[in-house]
Amino acid sequence: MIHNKKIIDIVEEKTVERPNVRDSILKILELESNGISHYKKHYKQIIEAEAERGSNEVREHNN
Amino acid sequence: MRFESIIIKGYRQYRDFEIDFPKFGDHDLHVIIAENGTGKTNLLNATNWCLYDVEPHLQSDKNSLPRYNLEMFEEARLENKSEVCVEVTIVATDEGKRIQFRRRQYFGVPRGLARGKSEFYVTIFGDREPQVLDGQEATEIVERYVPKRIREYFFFDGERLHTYLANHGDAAQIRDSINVISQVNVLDSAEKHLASVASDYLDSASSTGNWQIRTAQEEVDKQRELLAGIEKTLSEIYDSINDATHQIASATAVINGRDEVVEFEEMRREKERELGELLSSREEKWGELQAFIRQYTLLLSCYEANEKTHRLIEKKDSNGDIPPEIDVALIEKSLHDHACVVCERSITPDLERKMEDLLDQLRHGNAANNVFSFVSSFVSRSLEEAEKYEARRDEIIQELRTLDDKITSCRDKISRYDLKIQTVSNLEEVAAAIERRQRYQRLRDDNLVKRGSYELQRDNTSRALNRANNELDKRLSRVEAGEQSAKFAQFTRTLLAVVQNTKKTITDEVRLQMQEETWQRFSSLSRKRNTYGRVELDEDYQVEIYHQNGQPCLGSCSAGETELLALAFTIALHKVSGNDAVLFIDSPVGRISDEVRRNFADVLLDVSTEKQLILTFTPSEYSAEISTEFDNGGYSTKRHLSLNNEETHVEVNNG
Repeated sequence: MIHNKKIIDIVEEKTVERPNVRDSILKILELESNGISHYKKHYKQIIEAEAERGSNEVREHNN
Repeated sequence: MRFESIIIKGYRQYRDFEIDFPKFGDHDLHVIIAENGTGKTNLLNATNWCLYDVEPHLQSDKNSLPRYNLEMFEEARLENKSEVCVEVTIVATDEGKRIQFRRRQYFGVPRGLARGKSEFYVTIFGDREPQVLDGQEATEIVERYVPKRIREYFFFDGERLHTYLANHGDAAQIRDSINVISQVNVLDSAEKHLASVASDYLDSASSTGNWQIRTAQEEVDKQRELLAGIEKTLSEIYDSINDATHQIASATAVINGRDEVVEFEEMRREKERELGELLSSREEKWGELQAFIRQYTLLLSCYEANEKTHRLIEKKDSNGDIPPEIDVALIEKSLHDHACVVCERSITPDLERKMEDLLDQLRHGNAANNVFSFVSSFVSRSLEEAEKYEARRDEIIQELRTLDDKITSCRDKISRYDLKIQTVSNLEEVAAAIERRQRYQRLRDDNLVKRGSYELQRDNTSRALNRANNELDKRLSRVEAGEQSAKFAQFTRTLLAVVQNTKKTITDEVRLQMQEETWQRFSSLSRKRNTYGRVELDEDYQVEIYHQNGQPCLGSCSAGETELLALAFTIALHKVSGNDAVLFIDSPVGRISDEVRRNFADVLLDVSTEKQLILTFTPSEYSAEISTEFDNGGYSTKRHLSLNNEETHVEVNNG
């Protein structure tokens, strides 16, 4: 758990216009704070899903 | 996280003991009063044993009594029992969730030998069935709330507080501890893992034959490695400067302790200040020389080519190959006015035709003329600048030499004062301190020069790394939409940049806020209003306190003042880092004089509005200065511990 709320505030402040970046980082930090094994598998799942989500949002926006 | 209760069975003086910490009113403050030898410190040991399997506050491991309660053990022996059990349970809560930490160990009767290692369990009570964890999982819960390596910042032994800041060699420990409390270590780990995942995606993207990505990635890796090397060296230099500064301060404290040296010490200090200014001027001048060399490296390497171009332009000019510089606007205006704008004579139709032809030619030749005049003026300026090289270089070198002479003369004078101080004091101790101070001053000065040079290298390499990163991002953004690896690499690098940025912001913020908070707390605690001027924390969170005259003076602080500073630092650490775990201090005022105890009580009352505080005192430590403040301020609980009549176990009384 991220008990230092300042970390969350700063991440949110730096990613206001990029919700998929914000969500990826918060998910990763939650994993890290709880202790993580096989990080690559979990990281790649988050990154690939959120990067796709970002691309879809851009496409929808353009349409 | 706050402690709700501590339950102890069969541990040292605690046979069957329970103490709870309910919060009443605004102050989560719990006072425990007990005579020396009653078991105050063993309550702290029991807490440490339960959570970490260590008892750090025993006077000596070898000569201390066994961990089990002697009365209980004797009864077990008389009843022919085969073993006794020692058990400490801490019940805590975090955001409404109850967490129970329990450690248990068995000892054989009658030999009293431990039967294996202790067992540790953590039980979490939530909405569902209680979850019982052991082994690594149980340890991870402790690490999440009160990490072992920084247990001293949660469970203090007040008697040893004055040594907290004295161990300057352990800078990394303090920095790492703060990183754990403020969870910068989580960002650190995320950064490393993201970099590794980004590298996997980049490898995959470049393995498809995209050599542009590969070369850009290689450049990033090269610059990153270079930067890591420079930062490692810089960190060693910072540590060395810190250590030297503290050695100088402690040697100065020895010398200042002698009345007969006061006058010479004052003159010496004046020279020291002068030397400090000269050294920083020299550092600036050295930076100027390096910037000068960088600028002229380019100018001088182009000198030959510039000179050749200049000769060519001159030759073309003398041959009339370059169109003359004629102001087209003037001709146009003269044609429009039918009169020369210079001599005001009227223009004949014949002349007008000639002027129109000329204007036509000039319009075509103008672009070439512009290029020529730009090149000509740039080349002339570059040549002029390059020709100043020797004079400017000599000037800077001469200025550096003058500064070096002044530095040498200043150092000579300081050495003469040292000699005088040594002569008048005539003490071996002072002579040794002077020698130590000189040695560390030389070391510090050398490192200050090195620091300047390495900081410059770090800044340049950082810029090169930024450029390499931008180039890599540019190349990644150009790849085809179908290349998934490149897309994921780019996204991972974005995450990495945000994490790095967040880490830097939070680290800087925590350090500056801690510096401010430590100073505020220390000012409220200390009775000396006109002595200290400020507190500084360096990048490793090493504390330094400065006298109002600007001199660092941690080495001259008394044990009591150092303890106040350590407490101020710890309170600041808890406040700024966002950690809300309990703070348990055994004998917080043991070394603190009566005059500052009232301030101390005020500060602790204030802290207890934000976090749980458990404090233990002897009756004499819980003096009027403390009790008046606490009794009026409103503690949550006050308990007295005492031994039973047979002095075999501790009993707790309210009130």
